[in-house]
Parts: sequence; C-alpha cells; structure tokens
Amino acid sequence: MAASKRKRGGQGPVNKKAKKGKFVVDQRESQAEAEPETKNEVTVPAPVSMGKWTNKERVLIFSSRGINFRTRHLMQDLRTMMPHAKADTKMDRKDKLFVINEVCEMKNCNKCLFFEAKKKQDLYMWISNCPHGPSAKFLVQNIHTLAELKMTGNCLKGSRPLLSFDPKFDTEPHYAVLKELFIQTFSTPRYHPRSQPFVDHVFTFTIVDNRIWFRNYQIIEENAALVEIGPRFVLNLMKVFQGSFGGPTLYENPVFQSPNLHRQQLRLAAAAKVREKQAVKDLQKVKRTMAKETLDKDVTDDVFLTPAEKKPVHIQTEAPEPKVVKKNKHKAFKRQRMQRLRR
Amino acid sequence: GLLKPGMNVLVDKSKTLEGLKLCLAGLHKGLAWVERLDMTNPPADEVLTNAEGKVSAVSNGELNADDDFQREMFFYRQAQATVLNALPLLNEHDIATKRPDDYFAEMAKSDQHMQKIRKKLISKQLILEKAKKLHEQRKFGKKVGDSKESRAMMSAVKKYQKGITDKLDFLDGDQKMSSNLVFLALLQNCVFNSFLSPSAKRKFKDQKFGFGGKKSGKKWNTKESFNDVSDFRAKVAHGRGEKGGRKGKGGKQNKRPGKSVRRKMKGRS
Repeated sequence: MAASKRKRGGQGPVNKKAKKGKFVVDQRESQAEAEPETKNEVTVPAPVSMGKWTNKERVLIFSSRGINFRTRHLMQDLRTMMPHAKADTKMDRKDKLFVINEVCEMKNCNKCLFFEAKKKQDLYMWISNCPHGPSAKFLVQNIHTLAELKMTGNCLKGSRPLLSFDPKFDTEPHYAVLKELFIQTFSTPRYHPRSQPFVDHVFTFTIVDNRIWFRNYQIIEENAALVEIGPRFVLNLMKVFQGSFGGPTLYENPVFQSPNLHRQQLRLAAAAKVREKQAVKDLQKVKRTMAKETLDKDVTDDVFLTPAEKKPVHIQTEAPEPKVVKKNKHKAFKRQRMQRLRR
Repeated sequence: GLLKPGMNVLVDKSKTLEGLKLCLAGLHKGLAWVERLDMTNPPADEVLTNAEGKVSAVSNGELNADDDFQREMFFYRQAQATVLNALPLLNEHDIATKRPDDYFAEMAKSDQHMQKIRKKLISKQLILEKAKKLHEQRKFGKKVGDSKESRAMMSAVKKYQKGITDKLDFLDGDQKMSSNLVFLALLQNCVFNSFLSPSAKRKFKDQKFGFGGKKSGKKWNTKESFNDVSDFRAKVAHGRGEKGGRKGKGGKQNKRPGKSVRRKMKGRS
C-alpha cells in the first residue's frame, strides 16, 4: 500500500468504498447466472451495504529510517493483513517520539504500530493508542514474512481475523492492557469497506518464555484444520507507558535484556573461554618447567638395608646356541602359492 | 557477581498497578464480540497425539521455547481450540467462514507466489520418494546393476581387461542385456576412467604449466632444442621491437615512476 496523500477530512476511504463496491458487484453479476440459487450469498455485495461501519478504528503502520528488507516486508505484510491500516513515510530519527502523535492525528488514526530500527540490527516495535492511551515498546525477534516458501497458507486480502489469546493474558494486569491493545489494533472492524465478509484466518498470541509469540493460520476446514500463512514474529516486552509514546512507566519487564547487553555477554563468554584455555595452558607450561622436587635423603634409610650375597663369576667359554628363527623366509607370495595350487 | 537482568528491580507496585487498571478502564471500548472476534482459550487436546503419546498436555509454563516442534504444536492447538469455540458463535451471527468456490477476490498472496510454493512442495515430495525408494532398495541389499546379467557382464569386462580372455563376446549379441548396462559396465571398468575425471580447466593448466617438478632424466640443450628457433622474435632481438611502439603511444604505458618521483608524489599527496 503506497502512502496515501494526507487529505483533510479523511476522504480516502469514502472514494475507495465506492470503487470496491463496483468491482465486487461486477464480479458477482458475471457469476450470478452460473451460480445455483441454493447458495446463501448469490451476490456478495460490498461490505458497507450489509451494515453500518461504526467501529472507526484506524491503525497507522510506519517505521523509522534504517530498517532492513525483512522489516519492510513485515510492515507490508501487516498492512496486507489489516485493511484498516494506513501507511506513512519513514520518520526521521531526529524527531522526538511524541511527533508521532501528531502524525497520527493528521492521518486520522487512533492506533499506531511504529517500527524502529537501531544499529541496523535491532528492531523495536511501539504499539500505542494514539491520543492519550497507553503504549508499549517491544523488541521484535525471529521475523518470518509472508513471502517465505514454508508458509503455504493463503487467505483473502482484508478478511477479518479471529484472535486467539493465551489464558496467561488474563493473569497479569499488564498483560490485560496488552491484550486489549492487541484486540483493538489487530481486529478488523465489521463492515469496513476494504474488508471481506468471510472469516478465514486466525491470529494467535501466546506467552511463552516471557515473550509474546505471534502466528497467523488459515482455516481450511470446518474441523479446524489449519495451515500457517505468516507473518510470524516474537515480541519481547520492554515497557508499558501510560501516555502515547511517553508518559510515566506503568510496567517494566524485569527479565528484559537489551540486545546490546546480550551481545556483550556472548562476547564476554567467548573471551572468558579463551582466557580459561590460555590459563590452563600456562599452568601446564609452568608445571613442566618447574624443577622436579628432589626428595631429601633420609639418614635412617640405610638402616634396614641388607646387601645381597655375591654371585660367583661365570665366564662363558662356549658361544651361545643360535636362536630358532620362526619366520619362514622362503615362504612364497600368495599369488605364487595360488598358482602353484592351480597347476 | 555482576548485575544481571531481573536482579535489580525497583518497582512501586501499588502505584503502577493502579495506573494499569486505570489505563485498562480508559482503553476499554465495550464493543460487542462480533466486532472484536477474540477468544481466550488454552490449547485443544489432540486425540491422535495423545494416543501416540508424543505431545503431552503442557501448560505454557512448562513449555520449552527451544523445542520447536512442541512449541509450534502448542500454538497450533491453541488456534484450533479458538476455531472450534468460535465457529458456533460465528454461525449465530451469520458470518461465514467458508467462501464459495467461485468467489474470486484478491488474496493476500498472489497466484504466482502460490505456484512457486506448490512447485517447491512437489519437488520436495519427489526427493522424499526417491530417498525412500533408495532406502528400501538398500535395505534389501540390492545395488544398481546387481542383477545376474549385469554381474555377468561386469565380470566379463573385467576378465577381458585383465587379459584372461581375448574375446569381446560381451559387446555383441547381448539378447538379455540392455545397451545401458553394457555402457555402465564398460564405464565402471574403464581404464580411461581416471583420465575422464580431470576437468577441462585442469587439462588446460597441465598443458600450460606442465606437471611441475624436476624434469627427471630428461635432456635439455639437445641438438633439437638448440636448433629450435621458434621463440626467436627478430624485432625484439634487434632492438626494434616495442621501444618505438611504447614511445609512439605514450610516455608511460606500463612504466612505474622511479623511487625519487614516487617519494615526491607521496610527500605531495
């Protein structure tokens, strides 16, 4: 989705709705004759005509500069999955974060997903309820996009998702806030003009190992046979703030380890290993070069010594007998032996 | 020891708890379930896996994040449980989950992409099948060319090569053998096999640079080598060769400036 022009009064969706309606109706009309009358939806009209779109939820998905291809694709995938999402140009990192609130207001969005890349390595995601609401910052890991060939499922573009949460989300208050944020951000509003009337995929949010794992599955059969569509990522919660992109910290994750710290620890571990090996080697060297301990001679050692009796001197006059040679030097080679046998 | 994450936590729990609760209250919209379509449920119990005993019912406290299969099965079952619970509710609200076969709308992944995925899956399947076939063959001790005919063929070729038999009977009149097996047997026993292996690149290099080492026992400065004047270039020998060419073209073709000039250049830059 290209970044739409910033219009005053938010005229964007209105025009697009009309277009979409036409497109769908055309399709339906051509198929209408072929379809049997027994099906419920002979003509599937535009979603808005089915009911009134009241839940005006709009999400702004954009990023800072310095993101890599994977992050860009993840953002695009999220925009594909969420028809109520809007795009915007990359934000300069010089601007402070509360500028994002103004951007959201201009675009008439009330939720925001902001991806921030640091050091071209670490990706942070902010999710926030724009005017005053709470916001949260996550470290994103293990990103897999829609385009990966192992994700074999497919779904309608803009179909409404089912959201599946872990029971753990109800145990802690910060998880409850996050759950509410996720529900409002990720669920497509009913009768949204760009949505499809079917529900054919599920988003799952699970808490494992103090992280939130996100998966997206396609519902193939009514007996709950599922295939993964993607994208998938892992969110590591850092902080929950009271305000949008700022404000007092409501919750700080005690087990969060910044990626820099993590890398530093890995490096230290590797260095410590090397140092240990070196120390062991040095110790061995020292041991080798150290003079061997000479035991002090005990004066009383000789007390119990009894010299042995002298043996008579035996002079050999005859040469000793030759040894019996066991090896048969005249044994023929195997080949020759076989030839002999054959003859 | 050093401070590790999780050790030094200064949290004023009462304040933050209040704050979180207030936030939640403020955030809450009070939408009907139809708008949200959310479900909170533990993973479903898979009857099959329980029978096999592979995946035990673990809660996510015990779930090992590093065990990929277990983890992904956990997520899968959670999604399944959601779908199973949500379907009746969706039916109540007249929301369909199955789209009719002729409903053509834009999909999240393009058709081209799905074709690529299909191709990859098919190729993987083929590889698996081949591997299975090979494995089965190996299991029952059969090798390629292990049939009686091919074994007879190979022994015949070997005998010919070792000089035991002079006859090339195996080449012609093979009613039983297919031409493939003849070729295979010959190839496997071929003396020229060792010469087939070096690549064209290797051959070129051998040709150009020789086989290296001292030219043991070979004479040089023989009559022939002395009389060989093919390497004589008259122009170069009589000094008329490239001097004119170099000066004619330009001052410094390949000529590197001298040490003093270079030092001066270095100082300048």
